[in-house]
Amino acid sequence: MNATTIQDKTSTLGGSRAGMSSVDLPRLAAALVIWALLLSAPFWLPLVGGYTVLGTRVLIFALVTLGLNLLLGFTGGLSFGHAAYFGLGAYGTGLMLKFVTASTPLAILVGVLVGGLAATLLGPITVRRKGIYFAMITIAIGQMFYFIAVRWNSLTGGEDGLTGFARTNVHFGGWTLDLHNPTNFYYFTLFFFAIGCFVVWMVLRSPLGHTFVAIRENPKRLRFLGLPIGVYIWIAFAISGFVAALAGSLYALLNNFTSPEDMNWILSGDFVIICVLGGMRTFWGPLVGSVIYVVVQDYLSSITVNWMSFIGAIFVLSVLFFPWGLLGFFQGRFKK
Amino acid sequence: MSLLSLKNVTRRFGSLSALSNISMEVPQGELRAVIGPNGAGKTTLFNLISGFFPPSEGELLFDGQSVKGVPPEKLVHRGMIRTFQITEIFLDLSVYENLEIAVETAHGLNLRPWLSPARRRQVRAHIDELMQTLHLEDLAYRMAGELAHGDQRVVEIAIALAREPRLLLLDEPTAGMGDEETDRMTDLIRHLHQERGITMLFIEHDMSIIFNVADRITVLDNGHLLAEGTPAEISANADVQAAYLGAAR
Repeated sequence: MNATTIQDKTSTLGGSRAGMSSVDLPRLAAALVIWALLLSAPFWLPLVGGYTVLGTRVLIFALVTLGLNLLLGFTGGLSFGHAAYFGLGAYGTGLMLKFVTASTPLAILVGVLVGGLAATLLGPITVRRKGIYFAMITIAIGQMFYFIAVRWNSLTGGEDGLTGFARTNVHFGGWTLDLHNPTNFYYFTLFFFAIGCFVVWMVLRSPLGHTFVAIRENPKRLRFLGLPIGVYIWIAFAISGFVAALAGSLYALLNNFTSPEDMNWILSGDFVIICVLGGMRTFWGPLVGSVIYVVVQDYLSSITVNWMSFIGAIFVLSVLFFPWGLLGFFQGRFKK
Repeated sequence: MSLLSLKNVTRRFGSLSALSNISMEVPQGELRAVIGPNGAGKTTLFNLISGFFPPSEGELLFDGQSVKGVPPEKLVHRGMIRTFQITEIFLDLSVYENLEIAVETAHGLNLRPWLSPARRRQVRAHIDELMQTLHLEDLAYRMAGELAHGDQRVVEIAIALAREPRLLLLDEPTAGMGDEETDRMTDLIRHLHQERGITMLFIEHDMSIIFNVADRITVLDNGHLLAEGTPAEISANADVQAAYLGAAR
């Protein structure tokens, strides 16, 4: 996949988006190949030793990290707390299905709103600080939700997690989408992943996205152009929170289960690792990172419980040899 | 009426008076240079005018209104913008993208997640116009960080110009430049002044530029206003000569 996604970097860092022609062929080709692979995944995954649910997991991790990367890779805000919004989406959806409604779409909507609004409301607190302090506050706020989930036994099931809900079929008029079928649920997830991609892609090529990148590059310059940059970091934080909540909601539906671990800062750290592995400054980096993360986890966790140490080793090697992630590395080499 | 006026401005840092009782008027359309030996208070004056800190005493007026205590990011909206001694641009973005962010900011579009084709064309036209004015067309798709120092300074001025400032503050625009780059910058400043009528205030060390382009010169020495006048008056001024010869010795 790497060889086909070589041109991404220019879209946000280089001149291609400024080109006279609005069509950038290598980028377009890369996107087409990626979408073709994603659309056909249930057919080829078994041929390479995978299974459909593995593909769904990749999509969900790719979705949350795509959103996170808007903040991390493009705006330059290191958050170690996005699992909180992911987990709020998961609990919101799970609790809705368990106690309120049998409608999966409604449960998703509530999950997204709960997680997204939490990020939106808490954003102003975090964006007041920069750098390491920003990261610390995101952890603190994230852990607050984690401990609520652990302690509030009667509602959340505490450390055992929330069980007793299951995704339901979706009805459009007279037509029913059977979500119990893993392949159908894969495409259901892919649909939301596509929405997430479209939103992030739109933002990145708009003045809003240009502003995000400019904040990462030189906040001082931007401030002296008269912009209140905190507001824009907040917006990036909120968007990434909504996307994380959507992913968390889908994750609860995939597993018919959610637990405090889905909110823990360790998972937040994994999200950051995925972005860095794949390439923080690239659009498709989070997807590439998610493929590596989910596949390594799936393969190694059946061999050893210490699979995370392998992810750690890969992460260290990646930072040493590919500081801009796999995609960043290949793009850089191609450009020279 | 003066665009910028300082009335008996003093700025103290602790017991040190960096500026003492400075009064000056910069009329609309003037190209004003501020000179003085090292430690004369030029940078303090600049930072004070551009809102980095307020005067300890005295009054600061921009376009007839007090801007005492107004921070730099607010002054931008009133039409005052500055460049920095150490160039502040977006090094990892192309020249085009540098101007794009400047123009989008100037047009107040930063919050837009989407632009209509008409608006897109409008932004594009403004960028093209800036690149033409500053002769940056050939560098449009180069990374700003790869450019020569002189070109980076031109990009910084382009970013400032995108906001169509009424007062442009240039902090040592030719610092660290070679002769050729200095000539180019001098031409550019003269062009912006004459063709666009932008009021400019600049600090400069290079005397040839100052005497070439400035309408009037303000000379600071040791935090005091030593002299003010046309280049001819200043070069004939005995106090100024003494200050510079004294500083040289």
